[in-house]
Amino acid sequence: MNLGFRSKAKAFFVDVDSPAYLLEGSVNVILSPTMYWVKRVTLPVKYLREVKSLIPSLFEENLPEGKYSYNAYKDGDSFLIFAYNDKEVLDLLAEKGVTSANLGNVYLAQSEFDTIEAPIKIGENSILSLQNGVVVKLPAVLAPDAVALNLEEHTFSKETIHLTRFNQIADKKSQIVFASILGFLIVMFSAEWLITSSKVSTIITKQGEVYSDHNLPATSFQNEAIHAKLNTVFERQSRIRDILNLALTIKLKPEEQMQQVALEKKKVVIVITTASEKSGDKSLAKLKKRFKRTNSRFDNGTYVMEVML
Amino acid sequence: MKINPLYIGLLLVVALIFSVYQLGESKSQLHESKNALLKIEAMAEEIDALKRAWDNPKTTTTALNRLLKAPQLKSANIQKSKKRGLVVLKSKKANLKATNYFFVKLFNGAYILKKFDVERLDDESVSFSVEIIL
Repeated sequence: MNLGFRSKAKAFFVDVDSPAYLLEGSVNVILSPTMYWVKRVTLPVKYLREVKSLIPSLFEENLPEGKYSYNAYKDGDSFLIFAYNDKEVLDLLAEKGVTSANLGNVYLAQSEFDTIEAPIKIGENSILSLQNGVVVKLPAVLAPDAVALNLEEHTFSKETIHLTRFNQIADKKSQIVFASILGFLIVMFSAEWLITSSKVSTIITKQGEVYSDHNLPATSFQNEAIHAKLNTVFERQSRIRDILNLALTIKLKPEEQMQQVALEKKKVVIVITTASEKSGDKSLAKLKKRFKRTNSRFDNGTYVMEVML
Repeated sequence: MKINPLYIGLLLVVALIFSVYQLGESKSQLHESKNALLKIEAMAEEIDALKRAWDNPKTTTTALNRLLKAPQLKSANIQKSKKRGLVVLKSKKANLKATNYFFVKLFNGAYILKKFDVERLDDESVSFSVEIIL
């Protein structure tokens, strides 16, 4: 049920019977004792982390079926241990209008109201009361003189809890296994990345060595220019030889004769004596066919063919 | 402060994606570098071969001198002159056999021919001039 009530409060007490709110900005939430399990235990251990590792077994058989998160803090000579179902709490908070975007710190009523001197009224029919140092929710009829809940001046303790839906998907052991696999893959890929990078560096060094081994300039740019220049020489000289090879092996008619063969800057000139332009064309047709760029002319019994280089 | 395991998981997934991406990048870089090295090696070999054939004035001069001393060319009386990196060979009159021998050797060798002109004088003889770049 959403009453559409706008709260500017920075703190928000949540119980199953609380009304729903429309909230703006981040709010701190205090969970009602109905939303967690609490036990006071005295253990022969010194450190809190030792207690935390024992909590699941300390709550064994007390909790309904489900996945729980645990918390603990020291209170005098004993420890207070807590169990809560993240999903149930988050679902209830969402029902009351507190989304993940609004959710600031989350506190337990135990840590926030363990010093109250009188019962606190949290609704029409309920109060919070301290029973043997444990904050509990009781019917309002048990304390008619209970004071109203006022969080305006409330000073929060340092005991916050952490809510996550992730705990519902995978338990701690699975999370550690998952994280370990991811960590192993990261290490493996990173190591291979480093090895590959060092191979790249080695190859780049080798590229420089190739030039020095062949007594060539150090840069690709210079070597490409040398290569292009020499290749041009090679191609031009090959073409000259190809043209001449064909020109000098052509069989001329008995009345025809090769008069001149010349190499000029951009062409090879072949001159034959022949009867007509048609006959000269026919005799040197092979040259024209193979070396496309040709010019020819006939003048006074002389047929001239120019083959471009 | 307790860190949400989801954030740690996300961080690990991002780190994994990053390392996979970097590995992919460096693998493709390795592939490119290997190809570039092969290309460079091939180019260096080719430059070497081209240089040996087409950019070796000493070898060209030696081979040319040896050719001109050939007894088959004695009758052609080939005149040799040099000008700015060029060797010019001229014969005012050479028989067809000597001319054929000379040009076969020239065309089969790695001489850089700049210019030549072979002109028939009569049925048995020609005149020629050849310019070779050193």
